[in-house]
Amino acid sequence: MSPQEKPCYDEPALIHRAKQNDRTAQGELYEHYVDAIYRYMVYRTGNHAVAEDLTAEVFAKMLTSLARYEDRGLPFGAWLFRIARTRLVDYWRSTQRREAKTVVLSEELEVFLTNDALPADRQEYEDLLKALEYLTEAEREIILLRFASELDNQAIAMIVHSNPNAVKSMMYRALRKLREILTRQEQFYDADTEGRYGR
Amino acid sequence: MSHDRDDAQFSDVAVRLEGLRRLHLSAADRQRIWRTAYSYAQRGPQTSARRQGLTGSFLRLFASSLVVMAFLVTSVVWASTQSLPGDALYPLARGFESAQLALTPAPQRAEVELQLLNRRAMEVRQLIHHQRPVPPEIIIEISTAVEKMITAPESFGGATVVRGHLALQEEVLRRVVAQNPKSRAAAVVVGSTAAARVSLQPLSTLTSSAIFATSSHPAFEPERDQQSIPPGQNQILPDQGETPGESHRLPPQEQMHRVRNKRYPARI
Repeated sequence: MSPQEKPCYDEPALIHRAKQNDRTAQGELYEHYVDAIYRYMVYRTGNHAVAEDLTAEVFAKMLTSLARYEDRGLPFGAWLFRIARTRLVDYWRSTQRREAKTVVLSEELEVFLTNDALPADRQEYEDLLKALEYLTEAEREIILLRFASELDNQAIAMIVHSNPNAVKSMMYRALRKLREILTRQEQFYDADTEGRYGR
Repeated sequence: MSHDRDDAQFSDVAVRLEGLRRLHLSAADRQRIWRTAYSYAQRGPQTSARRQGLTGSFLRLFASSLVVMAFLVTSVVWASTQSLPGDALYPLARGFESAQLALTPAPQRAEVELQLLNRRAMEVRQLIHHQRPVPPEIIIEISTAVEKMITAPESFGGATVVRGHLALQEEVLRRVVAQNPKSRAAAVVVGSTAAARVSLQPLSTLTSSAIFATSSHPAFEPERDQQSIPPGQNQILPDQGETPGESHRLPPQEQMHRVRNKRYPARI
């Protein structure tokens, strides 16, 4: 499980050094996971500033709790994502609202996300984000953990407190649903719009 | 990322989803987030601080509540110990006494019973001082305790100790009789207590005149309601065939027994 494969990345050694308060090792662990955590946060909150702040809090927790971390069957990445998930739930609780069924990306973020893409890619990207909104919360979470944060089913199961087979089944259903939405996108959105506003 | 069967089956969707990874933080953003994380770690995350604040407030509130509760409980217990028969808190005080008696080991139980008997005497004195009626239950209770003492004086520290306590009870009961001359039960118990006290005297000090003196003591012959009670029947209701005026010459234990049975007749 490695969000960014690097040939010289030796995670156990880095964790050992980071526990000794080695700032370089802590920084390397941060560099290794920061994008994955940030993507998880930004696709779930739809807000760049909030995602950035939550990411900082996750790594602050990593720094304060690293001394207590021991790899007893829970890989470091899964441990970090569990912190992220807990922090996200705390955030929703503190803002007195549940996770929105559809994550509406802020306009600023949409511009930020599609800024450097080619016009064709940009449309495809926007369609994908829109299609994600039609998944359930659990489906969207495992899709994001798998494809945005590059985790495998084993790690995802540990993070969402499930088992790999259940994650695999849910992943299958989510992908099938997504393909259906993306294949018949215009038809699907028209029907959905009628369903929402046509009555 | 490992490509398994699902990814192969849904490769078109998977390829599009991999586009989500295009999102990267800029170097400046990374630096900023790392600095923020470090500062949070130094002073503790804001949420944790807030949660700690809430926990602290809860603990303070809980501790304050405990102190208030302890104060209230102490006050009620203290007030109940000062209560007299007829007061609202008196049953609570009696409950504490029962618990104290139940928790006392058998060897020390007699001593506690004597303490409680003295407390009854003190309560009776206070009731009389405040011109309040003495409930008959208290008289019965004193009578029972006195009987218990004279039955087995050695359990209560010997004849000398028991005599001292009997004298105290006798003095208190005389006050009851003085306050309420119609209290036949009190009069009987006074007489029997006095007789018991005398019967516990060492033989060398006992004289027949001393024994008969207890029976003719004024307290033993309280003022009667002349219209309702005939002379000689002022203590207890005599049994059939018993000569009126004979009952007060019965042994003290028998007199007390009759007082109790008259009030709480045995079920047959």
